[in-house]
Amino acid sequence: MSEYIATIGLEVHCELKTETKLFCSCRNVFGAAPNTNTCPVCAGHPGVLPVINRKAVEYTVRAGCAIGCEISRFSKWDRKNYFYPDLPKAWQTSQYDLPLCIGGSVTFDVNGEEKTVRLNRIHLEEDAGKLVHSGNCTTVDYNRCGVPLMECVTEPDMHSADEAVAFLEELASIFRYSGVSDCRMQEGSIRADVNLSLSRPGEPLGTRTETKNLNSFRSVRRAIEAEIKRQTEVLESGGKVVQETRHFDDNTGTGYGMRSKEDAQDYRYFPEPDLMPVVLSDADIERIKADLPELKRARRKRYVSELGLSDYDASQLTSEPEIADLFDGAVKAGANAKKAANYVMSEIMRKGKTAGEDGIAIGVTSVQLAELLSLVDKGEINLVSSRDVLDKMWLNPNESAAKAVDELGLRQNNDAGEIEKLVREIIAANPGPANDFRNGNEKVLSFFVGQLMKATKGKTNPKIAGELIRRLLSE
Amino acid sequence: MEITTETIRHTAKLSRITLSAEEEKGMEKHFAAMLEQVKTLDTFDASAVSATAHILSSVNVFRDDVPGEPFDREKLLSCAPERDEDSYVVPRVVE
Amino acid sequence: MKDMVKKSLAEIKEDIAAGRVSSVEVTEAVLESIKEQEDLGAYVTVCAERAMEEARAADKAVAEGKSAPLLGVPIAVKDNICTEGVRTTCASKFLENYIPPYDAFVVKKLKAAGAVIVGKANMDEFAMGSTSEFSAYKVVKNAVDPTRVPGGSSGGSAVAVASYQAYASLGSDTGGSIRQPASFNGVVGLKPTYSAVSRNGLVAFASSLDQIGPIARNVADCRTVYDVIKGHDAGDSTSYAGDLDKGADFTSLKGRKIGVAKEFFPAALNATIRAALEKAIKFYEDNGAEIVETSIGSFDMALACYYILSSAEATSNLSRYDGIKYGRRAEGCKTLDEIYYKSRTEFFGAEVKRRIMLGNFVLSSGYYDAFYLRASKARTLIKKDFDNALAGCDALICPTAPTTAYKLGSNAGDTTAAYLGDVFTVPVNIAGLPALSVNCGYDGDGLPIGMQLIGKPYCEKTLLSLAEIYEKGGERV
Repeated sequence: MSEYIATIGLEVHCELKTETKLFCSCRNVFGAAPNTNTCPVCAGHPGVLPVINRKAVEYTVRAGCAIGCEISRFSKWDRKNYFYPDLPKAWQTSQYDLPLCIGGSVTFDVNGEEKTVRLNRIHLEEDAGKLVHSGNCTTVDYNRCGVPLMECVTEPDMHSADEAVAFLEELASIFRYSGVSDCRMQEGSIRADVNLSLSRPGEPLGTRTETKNLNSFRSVRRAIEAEIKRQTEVLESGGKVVQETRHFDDNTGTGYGMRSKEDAQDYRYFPEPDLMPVVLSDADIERIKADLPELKRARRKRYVSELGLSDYDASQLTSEPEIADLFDGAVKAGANAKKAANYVMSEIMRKGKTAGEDGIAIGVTSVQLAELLSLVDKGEINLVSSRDVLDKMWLNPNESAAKAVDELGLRQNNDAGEIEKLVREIIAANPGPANDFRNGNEKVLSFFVGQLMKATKGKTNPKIAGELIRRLLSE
Repeated sequence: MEITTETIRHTAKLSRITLSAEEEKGMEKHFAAMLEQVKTLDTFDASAVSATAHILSSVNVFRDDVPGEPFDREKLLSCAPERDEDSYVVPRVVE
Repeated sequence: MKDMVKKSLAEIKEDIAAGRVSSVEVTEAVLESIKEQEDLGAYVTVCAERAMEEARAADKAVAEGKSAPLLGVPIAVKDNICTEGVRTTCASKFLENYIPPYDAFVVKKLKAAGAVIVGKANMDEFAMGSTSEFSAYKVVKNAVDPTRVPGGSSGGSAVAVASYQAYASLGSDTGGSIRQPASFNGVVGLKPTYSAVSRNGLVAFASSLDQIGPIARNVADCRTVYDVIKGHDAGDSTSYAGDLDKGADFTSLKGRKIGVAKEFFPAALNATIRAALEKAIKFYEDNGAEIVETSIGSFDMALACYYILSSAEATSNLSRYDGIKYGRRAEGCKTLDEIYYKSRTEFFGAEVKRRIMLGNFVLSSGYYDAFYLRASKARTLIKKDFDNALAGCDALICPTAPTTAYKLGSNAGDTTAAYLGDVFTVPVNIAGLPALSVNCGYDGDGLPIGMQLIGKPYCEKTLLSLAEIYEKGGERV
């Protein structure tokens, strides 16, 4: 009996980071008190009418340009009708037959190999509200209702959880780089539905199931693995996979079929009479394309080929657009690429990561960073005390590095004569370790450096100090 | 095309409306009469005509991405048949 | 009933502006007239207190020397147009307690023009019907003969104006709902070009067909109200941003062409109505207009096209009534499904249910192409036929309705027969054109006959001029 092959397609929903909702001027923010960002329009009151947020259309087109979609010159809006408490109008305004973006593809690395997944389309639609279940009740919050959402539909080009997750990570990174979405799983701003079927090599695809609304990369992985296992077991035991919509429970790690009413869903799509079509000219598309920043893969390649960084460093620096932008900016402002790379990867990323699990919060500008690096380079401060300078500048874009150094009194002592005097005193006070060194114990060097730094509160040029200690101990 | 009770029941379900047996019959009659009327649409070659997607010819009606004044939540929530302090309330939804 | 309520809008506006009478006095007189004629069922809600407040504010404005197009004049607003703080029910049980949190665009316009809104006019539930008998609260009765229907769905708006319970009113017209009741009550009703008046705040029935328009006792008053409510609204994506006055004001018919499309005068047309229309056509011809024969070849498809498209849109628009966010919820619901089913079953009337059902049927999987898509294509043909016909004339003339007002309850058994009454009005909505109904005589029972003038897009001025010339000089049957 030969192995089954899984065939996987994804529908990925990404919330756009516009200021306002898709069809009304309510704020698009995460985490507000329930129903505070609602109005008669997004709460579906009688008589209300939608007006399209231009930015949402531009962002979707920009995203489409980023993954090489064909941008529709003419696209329109449709109503997808269904009853649910999170959908106040009882229809979702979406794009059915004429979406904004068609085709496109995403190339990424998975387990050391390059892989390309084709996209079928990207369309723009509105998000639904949030239901909170407690006791006998469900409460409804419409804050998220009408938030602009891109739905990206892939072709069934993936065959494993690894591929699906790597694809999602790359897609999320592209959208973050494009500046159209934060793609924060924690906030539900990126969610995925997984279509999956099994087949034997050479045989037609089996019946597929759709697992809905997975809101972390981890649950996508687990849901795919669980579903492959389940379908395999069904087939192995001579059963048939039923076409159905499934739900994955993150707590138990198992999926279950939703009751058949979901499957009998008839959305009764028809053109939205309250909205006019979107018509884009070549010039419009060129203008939007021009706003597209250099994306992750391109930057990574450039860091290696032009800046001479290692592949590992390049991949670290491009892990988040904020980091890459900071690095690029610092290099542009005159910093040495390798030194800037090391500093960003060690100091900045450590400090930024603490800000949150999703993404990174950078509290320093590239100009500040370049200045700081130049001070280190010139020996004005050492690496250890640069951390204090960084702390002082953090989230304070007007602070200059030089000023911070002075205010903190960190400018280091580069006067060899003065340092020599101090070193002599320290050696005299510590005859034991000095003898150890003379007997060949190199390790005690660091003891003397430590003593010197302690005496000068770290403000000694460590390079000069090291050389002096070695010379004076050898006398 | 024949309108069956099955069709009526399915449509009632899509409409979230319960019909009595008598209403079902009335609806069947109504549908049949409407279908008769709809036959007037069979007089042209549909493949040669494009559908009117919108009666107006304007396109690209947009607004700028600028937040408006926040709307008073209470004005909306006070319209609800059941609510709590900050949300609309329905019986627990089973997924 | 005080004499002042019988004055035209123009006259009473002048009186108020000149200080001959206060808006408070006028509003009191109108409220009294409303009270006296409660039997006609013209209003769902009378907002006496607010109206008096608005009247006092108007009087203050007059005293301060201010002027506005409707300053101090009592106006009725159809109950499907949202009024902040005033119950807006659409004559449905579902919205019995719904107090909108916002004003419709046209209501803002009325208020800015100084109007006093005296009440919310009765109608067919959610504007679905042509008799106003489908109001969930009370039947509206014809102002000329209370044993007869007032037409619909803006029956209350037409009756309020015809019976002096307001100087003018706003109605809405999806398939004839302004023009047909105007015709049945002998008043003037204008359905503007689709997109000329913002639909923002008009409770949607069929979004691609709905349009708000004025009803008044004469053409000039109709024009005054239209000029107040028309105009671009950035809050309605379908609102027209271009020139709304493509037509012309004129007092001579010289050089004007009026089209007669044979489909609007079928062999079976009621003889009295035909005679009234022929007389009107002769008036235009005698006074210098050229009468041109034309044709709307797709005319027969209009009714089916209308019922498919309007029901499909309605089914979607009315799905928001679910007993969760506003309006009523059925008692004792233990599950979500119960809320949906019980509330919608209990609070929608029979006609609304028929339209929702039909709409869901034509949109449902497997039927879309045969019904909705085909109707959308028929719409293309109908629009083209009107464009062609109107290319050769300034306006088309035809009856507003195939009958005069019939007895209350006479359509009870046969809803599709009632639909036939819309045959002359629905094509206009399908094509998105402006049309006006003005009285052109009376039948043997003294019931008003309406003639309809159909114009080119944004040529309301032309229609109003043509109607006004006839109103001043035309001899009625």
